[in-house]
Order: sequence, then C-alpha cells, then structure tokens
Amino acid sequence: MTTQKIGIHSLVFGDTWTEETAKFACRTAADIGYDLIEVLIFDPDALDPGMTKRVVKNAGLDLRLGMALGPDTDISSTDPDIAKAGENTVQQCLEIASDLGAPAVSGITYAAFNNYSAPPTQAQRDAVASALGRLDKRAGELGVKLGLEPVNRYESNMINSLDQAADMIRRIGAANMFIHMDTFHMNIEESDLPSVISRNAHLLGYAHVAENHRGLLGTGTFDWHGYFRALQDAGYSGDFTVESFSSKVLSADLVGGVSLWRQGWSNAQLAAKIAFEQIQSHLAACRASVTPWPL
Amino acid sequence: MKVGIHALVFVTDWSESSIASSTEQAAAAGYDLLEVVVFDPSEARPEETRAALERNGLSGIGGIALNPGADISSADPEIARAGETLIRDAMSAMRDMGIDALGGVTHSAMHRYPTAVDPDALRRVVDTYARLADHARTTGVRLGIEAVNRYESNLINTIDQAASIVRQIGSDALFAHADTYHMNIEELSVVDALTRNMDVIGHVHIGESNRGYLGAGSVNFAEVFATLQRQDYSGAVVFEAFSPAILDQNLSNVLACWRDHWSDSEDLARHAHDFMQAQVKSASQSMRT
Repeated sequence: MTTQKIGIHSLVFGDTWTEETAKFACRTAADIGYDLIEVLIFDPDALDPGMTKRVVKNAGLDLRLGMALGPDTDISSTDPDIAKAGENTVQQCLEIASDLGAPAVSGITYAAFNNYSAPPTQAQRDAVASALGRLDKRAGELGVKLGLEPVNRYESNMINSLDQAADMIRRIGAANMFIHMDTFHMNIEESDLPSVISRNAHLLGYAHVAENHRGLLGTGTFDWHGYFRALQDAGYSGDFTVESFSSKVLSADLVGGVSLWRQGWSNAQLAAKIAFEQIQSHLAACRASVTPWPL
Repeated sequence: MKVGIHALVFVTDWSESSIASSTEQAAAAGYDLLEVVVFDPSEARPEETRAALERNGLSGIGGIALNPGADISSADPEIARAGETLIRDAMSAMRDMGIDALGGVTHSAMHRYPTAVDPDALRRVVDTYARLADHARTTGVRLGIEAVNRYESNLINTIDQAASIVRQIGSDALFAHADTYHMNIEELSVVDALTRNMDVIGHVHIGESNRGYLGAGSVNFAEVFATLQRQDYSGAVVFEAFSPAILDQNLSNVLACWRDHWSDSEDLARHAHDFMQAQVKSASQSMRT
C-alpha cells in the first residue's frame, strides 16, 4: 500500500500566516481530510517556527515548506551579493525545515520568481550549479531534501521543464535533491507528459496539483486521468499538494505577483474540499487502472 | 476555412528581404494566407507587402501588439493616445496592403503587468474601441481583440472577455480573436468558450501549449477543429510558433522564449500545414451524416 499524502497549499486560504490564519487553514484542511499543509516561506526571518510547528501538529497535519527566491535573493544573479543572499536564503529555509521536522524545502530555489528580460548565460548556469551543489551538501547535513520546481517561461528563464531540472540535478551529482512537479507549469511547457514523467521518474519527489487556470480543480482543460495514470505507471511515490489561487483571498501584491486577475472561486473551503475529492478519486481510479485483471 | 501561418515562424522583422522570404516560404509550404506583423506602421512597407502577397498567391491578415508606451488601457492619456494612434496607423497600413483585418493584443500592452487593472481601464478601452470601430468602417479594415494569457495582459485573458467588448459596442467592424496557446492557460473549456462566442470570433491562432510543433503538447486540437467546423467558422486559422532560433534577442525576450525547441522553420511550417489540413478534413468528415 502506498503512503502518498494529499496536501494543500496555505495560499488557498490566504497569504498571511499568523497564529489565527494558520489555525484556520490547518483546521479546515484537516477537517476535509488532508494529510499535510504546505507553508510558503515568504521571508525566512518573518516565519514564526514555534507557532507553525505547534499549529500544524495540533491539527494532526504533516508540514511541507515551499519557497520562491526574489530579485534581491537571486542565486542566478551576476551581482555576487545578490547571488550570495539567495544562497543564504535557501540555506536558512533548509535549516527551518530541519528545525520543524519538515522533510524538504522546494519551489523556485534556483533563481528568482521573476519576469526575466534575457536568457541566462552559461556563466549564470554554472554559478547556479555550484551554489546548488553547496546547498545539496548542506541539505544532507541537515537531513532534509531540496526540490527544484520547473516553472513556466514567464516566471523563470532558468528551469522551465522537468528535463532541465533533472539535468541540473545530474550535473551536480546531487544526493539530496529532487524534482518538484507542478501541473500548471507542465501544461504550458512540457511535450508528451507520460514520456516526460517516465524518463525522469527516479527524480520525481513532489507534486503540486493545479488546474490549467489555477482555479477550481477539475474545471479546466488539464487531463487529470492521464496525468495520475502516468505517475502511477512510473511508480511515483511522492505526495500531492493542491495549489489553487483566487483574487478573493489574496492581497493586491500577491495578485500582481502571480498575475491572477480573475476570481476563480470565492469559497476557499469549498475549493479545498472539491480538490481533495478529485485527487482521491483519480488516485483510486488510476491505481486500479494499472493493476492487471486476474488471468 | 483559410489555413495561414504567422510571419514570425520565418522572420524576425519586416525588412524587404523578410517580406520576400516569409511570403515565399509560406507559399512553398502550401499556405493560403500569411499573417503580417506590424512593428512600426511607418515602416510596414505596404506596397512591397501587397506585391509579395500577390506574387505568391497569398491573402493576408495583420497582427499587432501594444506596448507599455502605447497602451489604450493606460490611465496616462498620452500613453493611451499613443496606443490608439498606433492601432489607427496599423489599420491604415493594412488597407494599403490590401488586407481587411488586423488582430492581436490591441487592448493593452503585451507584457507582465505588476498590478491588476484600475477600475476605469475597461471603460477607457471600450470607448477607444468604439472610436476605432468607426475607423474600421472608413478604412475597410476590421479590428480584432485577442485574448492572451495572464502574463501578457491583465485586462483580456479569455474569449468571453474579448467577446463582451465586441457585443457592448455592437459593431461588426470588431471581432474577438482566439488563440489556442492562450486558451490552454486560461479557459475552463475550450469547446464551450469557442461555441458560445462563435458569433463574434473573427480570427483563430493555432498554437501548441509550448509554442512548438503542433501535436507535441497539451492542446486538444481535434476538439478545436471539430468545434470550428460544427459552428461553421468561416475565418482563417493561422499557425503561430516562436523560437529564439529565429527571433532576434529583443523579441525573443519579450515573448519569454528561452529554449531552442525548434530551429527548422521550413519543417515546422510544413508539419503544421499538414497537421491543420488533416484536422480540418477529419472535422468535416466527422460532421457527415
């Protein structure tokens, strides 16, 4: 039997993480049946680790940590101070994960979540590989993993596809790194999904589950059945975390940050519940679909 | 249904040699129509363009994108006016080319906006389109409103939004312009969005989810072509793909093309032509009683 967990991203409930909002998010998630919550670290100095650990634990949930570097903390920057600040930020997040007993940190950990105006140079790619090599070592010392999330062309010029993430991990010879998939981005950037999944299967460690438009799961164009079946077939054993955004619950800054101009849903609780049921039923169907019938 | 191709599959500017090579290559790959891209209307070379289209037996359609300095959705009246002027001049250039429609990102600047639209943006845009509809009647060039993804506009992301402007103004000089690349990111259902807006859809871009070879991504083209056929769509379908192997650095960066996933325009164009022809044929067969 699999131990894959179903999780939900804290941004489904809002973009603040105070004791009050954290309790609401965790309680709502746990009541629906979720196994884990992903907390996005906007600023490692601002996250309250004690509160986070307590609230998540009290709700009976597991914790995952997500992050996205910014233009001032960009490992790929040609400005050595900014690059160093980026490396320090990732390292700090790995330490937080270790303190909180979270298994991993993942997201845009290799460059800024940014609208770049030029492609990266080879020197930038080399510098990112060196920095990630050091961070991989640090992750090993801390007993946590570091994930690379390929994102679409408008959010990064460095790693847009699973193949590119895998190439980076292989190049470093990393022992503690994995690929973090996100269907919203894959729907834009990948070619044949079952092939992409199959050829990178051994490196797949985590999955964000998001509809093509990032709204209510199951109300878009993404081929969920095909996706879950391909993962099942490839032996994927990582967790699934729902990511869905609505301008209803996000601040104006974050609406601008993720370019979400339309209100996909208005009730976070309902969006979370629908997503949970969708994933459960797809997983059950796909497990059955790859199990041979008795001869 | 005319089957066309976007000039930027072949070229990155509109010089005399680019006019010659894009028209020749489009015709050689079997296309009926070329989408001409207008960067600067004063350098659109209408006479050369008209002659090259005629010489190669092609019809044409125009494409344009506003920019942050010329944006009809802007609250800055000078920027808004510059946007309107750019569209007017491009429409006049189309008329001089013998082309009767101009599509593209005519509603806002094609770039990643940092914030949501201000509450008056839509009203400003609707008022501007109402004036441009008059210019369309004068020039005989219809004007399109292309729904593009969230990273290219904060105003018009869905076919419903584009269609709603056309309906508000109620002029057949305007049309909604659909693009499967953008629809793959923004729509709830591609079939439903096309079906309920077919009365005002005047132009369709056929682009794969990753802007490469048709059929090598996430877009369900069979349902797109079946819907166009079922709804008696009579406009053109134009293949669009972008690669840094063809585009100059600036254009490639604006379009966020970081990967050379294709480099042979001729092969890509032939494949797309055959693919679209096959889709049109299958769709029409599937409608037979």
